[in-house]
Amino acid sequence: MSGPSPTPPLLGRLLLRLCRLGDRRSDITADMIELFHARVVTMDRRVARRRFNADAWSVWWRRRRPVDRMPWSRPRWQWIADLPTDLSYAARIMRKQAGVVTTAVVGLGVAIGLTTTVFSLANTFTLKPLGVAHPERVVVPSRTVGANRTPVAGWSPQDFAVLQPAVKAMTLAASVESRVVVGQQRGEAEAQRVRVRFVSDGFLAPLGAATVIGRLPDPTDSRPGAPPVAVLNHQFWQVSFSSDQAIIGRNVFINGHEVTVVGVMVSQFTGPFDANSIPAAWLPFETARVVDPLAAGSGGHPGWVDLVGVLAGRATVRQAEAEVETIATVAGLVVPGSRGASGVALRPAGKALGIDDLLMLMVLLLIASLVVVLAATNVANLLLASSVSRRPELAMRLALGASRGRIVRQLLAESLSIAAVGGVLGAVVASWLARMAGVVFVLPQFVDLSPDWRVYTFAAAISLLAGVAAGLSPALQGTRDLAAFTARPGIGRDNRTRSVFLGVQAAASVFLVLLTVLCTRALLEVSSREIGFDPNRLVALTAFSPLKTHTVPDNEFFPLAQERIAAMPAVRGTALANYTPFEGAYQPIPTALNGADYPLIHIRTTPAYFGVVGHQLVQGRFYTADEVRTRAGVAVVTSRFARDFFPDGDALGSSLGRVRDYLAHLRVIGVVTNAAPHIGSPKYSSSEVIFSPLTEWTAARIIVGTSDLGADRLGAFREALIAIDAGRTITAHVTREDFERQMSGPRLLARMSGLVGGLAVLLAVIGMYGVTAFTVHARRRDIGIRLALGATRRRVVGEVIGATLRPVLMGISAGLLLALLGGTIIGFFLYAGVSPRDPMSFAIAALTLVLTAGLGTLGPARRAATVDPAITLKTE
Amino acid sequence: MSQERLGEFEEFTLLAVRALGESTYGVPVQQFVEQATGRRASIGAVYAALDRLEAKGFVRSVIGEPTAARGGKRKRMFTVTPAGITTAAELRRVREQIWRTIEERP
Repeated sequence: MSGPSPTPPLLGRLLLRLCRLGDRRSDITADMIELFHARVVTMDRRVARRRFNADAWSVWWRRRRPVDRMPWSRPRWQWIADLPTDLSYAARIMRKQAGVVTTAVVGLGVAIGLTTTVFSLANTFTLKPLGVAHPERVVVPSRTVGANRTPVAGWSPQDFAVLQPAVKAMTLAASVESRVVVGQQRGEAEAQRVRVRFVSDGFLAPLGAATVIGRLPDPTDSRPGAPPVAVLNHQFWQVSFSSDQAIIGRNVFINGHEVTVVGVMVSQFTGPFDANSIPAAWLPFETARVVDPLAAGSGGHPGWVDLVGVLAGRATVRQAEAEVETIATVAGLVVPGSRGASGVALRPAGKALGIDDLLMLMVLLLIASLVVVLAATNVANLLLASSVSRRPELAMRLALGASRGRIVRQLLAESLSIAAVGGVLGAVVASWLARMAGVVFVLPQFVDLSPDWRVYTFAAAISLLAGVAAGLSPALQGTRDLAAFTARPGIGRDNRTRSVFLGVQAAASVFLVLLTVLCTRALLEVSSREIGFDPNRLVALTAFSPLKTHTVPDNEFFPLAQERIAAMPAVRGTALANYTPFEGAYQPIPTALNGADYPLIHIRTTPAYFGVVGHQLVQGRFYTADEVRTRAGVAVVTSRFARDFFPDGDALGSSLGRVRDYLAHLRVIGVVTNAAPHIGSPKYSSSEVIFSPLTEWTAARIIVGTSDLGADRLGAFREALIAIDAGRTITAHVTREDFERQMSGPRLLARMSGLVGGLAVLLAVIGMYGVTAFTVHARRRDIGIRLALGATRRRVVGEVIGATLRPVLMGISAGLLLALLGGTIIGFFLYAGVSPRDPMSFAIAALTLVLTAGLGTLGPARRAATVDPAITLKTE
Repeated sequence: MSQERLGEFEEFTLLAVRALGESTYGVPVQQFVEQATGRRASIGAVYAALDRLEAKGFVRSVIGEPTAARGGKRKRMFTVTPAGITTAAELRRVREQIWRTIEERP
């Protein structure tokens, strides 16, 4: 019967592919196909297919090993014995191809260095344990309120004096954080504003503190009238005092007062605080009375001291918590069942990792890993070219008795050697980047990015992965069908593999470039956003009473507070609001406009707010004091809000019911210039604002308009409020600092993505140049023949560029498609409402990669055009 | 007799290689064993037996020339070694001796 010969079934063929047949693959496969065709003739086709599958299964089941001279005599761990030979052979090969190898190593090293630096950042802020001796034994006691035992801040020095001698399950100590000015000379212009901690006697030693020079504060330093002393943070000493060994006994000036340095802490000790709050120095409480009397505490002011405990002996957290709660209850510090503080909770010291932190960490690592993928793809392309050009050598080794597996191991050893050198270079790059990171990423003070065992393990693991990933495919590809090797191997399959690598590279590169474009646009959007007022002239004061310890009611406290502060020098005015600009704690009201999210911030204020903050009236009027007093249903909106929700220009007099039902009672009476008091989380950075009269005093903040933002002025504000009601927790902060803190997020993302995107482009250029150069070299005979036969040089250049551009364009499409599908994840981290699927950004990223490909291929393509057919053919 | 033992299937495989002439390869061996024994023999079992026979020194193999019929693929050709011939003959002698003993019993 004529017709196409039947094909063996797919299942059997797949089983054969998965079976380790070594150099027997060719003859065994041919035998089985011959048997299949014979059975098709002598039996039924279905039977032949069934028997083929059964035969493939029997071959696979018996796990045939590659046959070599002594198949049963090779020990299982022979590869370890072969390792020195493989490595020395790899070193010889690398020496012979020094240029190619250097390019691969540098690219891989930079990529591994960048990834390791990102991991190092993540490690410092999330994984590294606290800088104390036994972090698992350190706890923070908090008073709690409500049935849910919600922790609230708030212990006073008197509370500490009651608890400390009574608690036996742990060693209890207290500290107060303060910001001071430190200089080496009085009135020094170079003085730094730093964070310090005033600590009780016995705070440091139980936490495992030790000095590298000098001593810790001792009980004599805490006696009344003792001279002021300080122990410096190790990094602060290195940076600000140039690691001066003669620092002990010298005086420094803190807030203008002389303080003697008695010791420098070891580098590992940073205290029981997360990486955002490491102090520059530790000073005894007695020293605080001299340099920062406000921090020393006045009277029984609650919320003044932070307590920390170190569990004693075998005491558990539960036991210690029960003991502290019992003592606090007996002493009247907590009242079970009351509306105020009703319990005590102990939580582990340091910052807990939230879901947002984990997500950010995973995304950062993913981005950095893509750079490693890029570099590894470059290495893979180079190794593929190398293995193809070495096929005569590899075929000779096979003929002399080496198995394919042995040769693959040899090639893998070469790629792992390149990766190992790249890893070492990466560690060097990472340590350099860690020093630069503080400048680029505006990190908190005294953050120690020096690598620990986690970082080294990560660097080693990623080097190993890169080596295997880069070397495996070229090793398998380069040793395929070596038994059937002919003098001039075809390069068809190798070109396909190389094209796949190019495509992967292009996909990863375009994703990273797209991220750069999006983050940069978000930063530009946020930076150019009209915030509507000058944050450099505002101070925000809070006067909370979470433990209900206040004595003056809110409706008396706040008017009196405003009156006293307004009477102070350099104060332009005061106002009240339920939210201070850039506070960052506000959860916007979710609303929608034309189907898209439109987060809304509803700020309730007194009438003076607009004048103090500096909002300009565009239409209508502000609400009056009477309207605040009567809680009138009036509102002032921003120009953008009015334009968005009232496009017909009829905002004035309209109800806000069209925005949300429960806002229907508010009627617009005024429109102000645009205001953007919230950058904060990426989710809400494009939120809009409406204002209405303040109706509830409890959570009110005092906004103070002043040009004097010095520490003395802030201290004076706090003293004034404490003098009215010492039972409140008073904080004062400059709006400008809050604004900078909120801007740090988009700035960090833009800088990091810019760094990564730039590296991606560089690696892509190197990779595409390498691949095109190799292809031109391999095809120079063909090019020579074509030129000799009359092809124009322009056509030849076009074909060379096209051969690289085709897989690159496919890779770009795949990368952009993945970015489109993963847009939700990307969008989580974008600010200012920039869409993760913004067409303009996609276009810019694609164009950048196409130009990159053009740049990378231009040189080799032009070289192809200069091939002299006469010389080439004569050489061949 | 040789110190190496032969299993039943190995013996059939060895005899098949001997019966098929100077040298042969996997496909005819599998077909011969299947036909002679009347039982299904998977090609994997035949390869395993041939490998074991080669390890024991009873057959040897060489890579043959590629043929057009097999799409240019080579064959691994097996030949019985003198040790294999001796072992096969010894096995036959032992079996015949046992059967004679059975037949001579009253």
